[in-house]
Parts: sequence; structure tokens; C-alpha cells
Amino acid sequence: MRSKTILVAFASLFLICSFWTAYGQEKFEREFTMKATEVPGPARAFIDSCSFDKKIKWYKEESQEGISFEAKTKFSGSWYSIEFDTLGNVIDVEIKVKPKQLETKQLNKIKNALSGRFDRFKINKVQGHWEASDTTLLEMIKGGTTPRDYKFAYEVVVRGKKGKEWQAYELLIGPDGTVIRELIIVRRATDNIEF
Amino acid sequence: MKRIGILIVYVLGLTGLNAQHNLTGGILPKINFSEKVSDKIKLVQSIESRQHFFTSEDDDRLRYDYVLTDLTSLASLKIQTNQSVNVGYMIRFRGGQIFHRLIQQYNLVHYADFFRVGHRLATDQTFSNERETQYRIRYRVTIERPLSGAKVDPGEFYVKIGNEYLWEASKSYRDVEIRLVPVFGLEVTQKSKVETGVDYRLSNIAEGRADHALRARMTWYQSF
Repeated sequence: MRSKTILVAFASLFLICSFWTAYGQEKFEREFTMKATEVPGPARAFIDSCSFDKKIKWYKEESQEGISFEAKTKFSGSWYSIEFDTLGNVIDVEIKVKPKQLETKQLNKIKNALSGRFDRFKINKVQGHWEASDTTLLEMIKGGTTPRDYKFAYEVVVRGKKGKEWQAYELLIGPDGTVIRELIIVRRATDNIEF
Repeated sequence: MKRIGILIVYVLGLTGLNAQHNLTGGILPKINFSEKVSDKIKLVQSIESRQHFFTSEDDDRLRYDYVLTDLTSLASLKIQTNQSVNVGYMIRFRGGQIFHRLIQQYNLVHYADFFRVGHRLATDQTFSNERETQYRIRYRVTIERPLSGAKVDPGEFYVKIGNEYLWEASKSYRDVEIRLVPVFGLEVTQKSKVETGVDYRLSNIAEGRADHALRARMTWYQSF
């Protein structure tokens, strides 16, 4: 009898708590794995001319900015991500780098930019972000450098503290240390990892 | 993944070290509800049952046995974007007896490009009128990877594997238990997930036996 009473009390507490709700603002972005044969021809042709030696993984990405295709692969020890529009035209190239691989001057510019935004921060990921013509980007990928014009920025993922709050952020920082964009990263629920 | 395969072979290989063993089969259905009460605090309630269909102690006969019900209530405090500490209480109803457990946990989640890794360090203390107080310390690592894309989105499947080590002690008893839980999951919505898989436990290792429990695990995670 006593155990039944305890069970009912617990179930009631359980049900009361379960009807509370909470809402949050989230960035819309979805990715789907694709086969290479489903990707527009110009995008496949660009990737073929890069002469990557490892497997290419293709993704279709849907976001508030529209639909795009992305090719991801590892090349010369770094992770590359090349983004294309729906016609297969290249939009940008991102290359993941370790913070210690950056020149001290470059790293200090990033850290100074972050210090201006956060009370405390920890860098989780840095990617070089290039926007240019197909020819220029191909030269960058194959040779590591190009004499042609291109736009460059760092995409940096950090854990940053503002006031008392820690959050995950993604920032786009120009080579001169100017912060171009700052977004809050909304993580998926971790209940199935923690409990 | 190669390391996980080696670990599975190692765990299963431990069974070869012992001549005497028991095998139990059953199911572990669980519902886990969590609800944010502030930016840093959430409450987690769960109900889990353990049901057996087979145990080698019964001369290998199939026999249904409702073993226990666990009701757990935890308060989770986010101390960092990827770290939390949880404290809580569990009440267990088993065989007409009631057990009370106090729970303390620390969680760390690491985000990589194609998967998430969770580390959980926990202690708990179990009290009852009929048995000695039991103390446990446990460590679990969980790896989750999407089956499509670089991250899991609503409507997409994923795989998850958990590996846990438990050290138990009471006045007259010591044991080590190892658990391996591979599951398939579906993110139904951003706030709801269902998982199904296998929960394998190897216990009574310190006593020179190897008791195996292989149960089907089914879990529903719902956030509010």
C-alpha cells in the first residue's frame, strides 16, 4: 500500500513537470548525404579538376539562405569543404586549420577580435574561408596560393562568455581582425548523451 | 570504430576466463522527459522498467518476470556550454522491496565535425532496509554519429554506442560491471528522439563468475 502511494505521488510530479514548455530561437540548417551522380555536372567537374586523393563526401544543405551543395574531403592533412549553388557554380572554399598552424600575427588578430567581444573565450575551430572565381579557387587548392584577387576571412567557432553566460558562437573575422558576422550556435539536445 | 570493435571483442573475451556464468535476457523500456526551467537549469524525470524473458538459472526455460521499476528525478545545472552537473534521486520497486538511490553526475560533451562524444562520471549510493548500503562510481563514454549528413536533423537516423564501467562496493561485496549499449536512433523532432538497441552487461567479474545480461533497450527522449 505504501509503495503504491509513493508510486502515485511520483507519477503526479512526473506529469506536472512534463506539461511545462519552453521555446527558443534557432538557426535553420539541414544537411543530407548525396550521391555524386545527384550533384550538378559543373560541381563534379570542379572537384575532379582539384585532383583530391581521398574520398569525396557530398551533401545537400538547406538553410535560410537557400539550397546549396557541399563537397567535403581531406587533402594534404587538412579538411576541405567546397560549396556550390544549385547550378553547380562554386560559392566558396573552406579549409579547417588548427589555431597553432596560423602565423602568430594572424592568431593574435583573431584573439584581439574575440577579446573585444567576449570576457573569456576558448577557440574550438578555425576555418579559412575563400570566395573567388573558379580559376582562382582551383589555383588556391592545388598550389596553396594565387596572384589573383580573392576575398578571405576566418570562420571561427568559439565558446564565449558575455557577462555570466557562456554560449557557442560562430564568427566570421576579416584578415584585419574586423568581425564581419557573429551567430549563436544552437546545439541539439544532449539528453540522449547525458541521461 | 576499430577501437570500439576491439573493445567489444575484449569484453566478450572476458567470458572465456570464467567457467561459471549466468545469462539473462529481457527488455529495458525507458521514458526520459526533460524540461528547462531556466537558461542553466533543467529537470529530468524518467521511468524505466526491467523485464526478463529468459535466465539460465531456470534451466534455460523461457519465463516472463517483471523485475523492477525505477523512477528517477534529476536536476541538471549547466556549468559550461558543454558541461553540466546533475544531482538527483531514484526510487526502485523490486520484488516487494523499495530501494532509494542518491545520484551525482558530471557530464562533458565534445562536438566534432561528424559526431558527438559524451563523457559521464557519476557516483551513487543505494539504501534499503533489507540490504547493505551500496556505493558505486561509474564512468561512461557515448559516441553518436548521424547516418546521413554531418549532423542529425529531424527525421534522420543516427547510431550511438555507450560503454560504461561501474565499480561497486558494500560492506561485504565488491564488484566491477561493464556495459555496452549500441543503439539505432531516430530524431523525430528537435525535441523528441526514440532509440532501440541492445544493452549488454557483464557483472560479478570480481567474484570469479561472469554473469551476462542481454536486453533489448527502447528509449523515448522528450524535451519540453
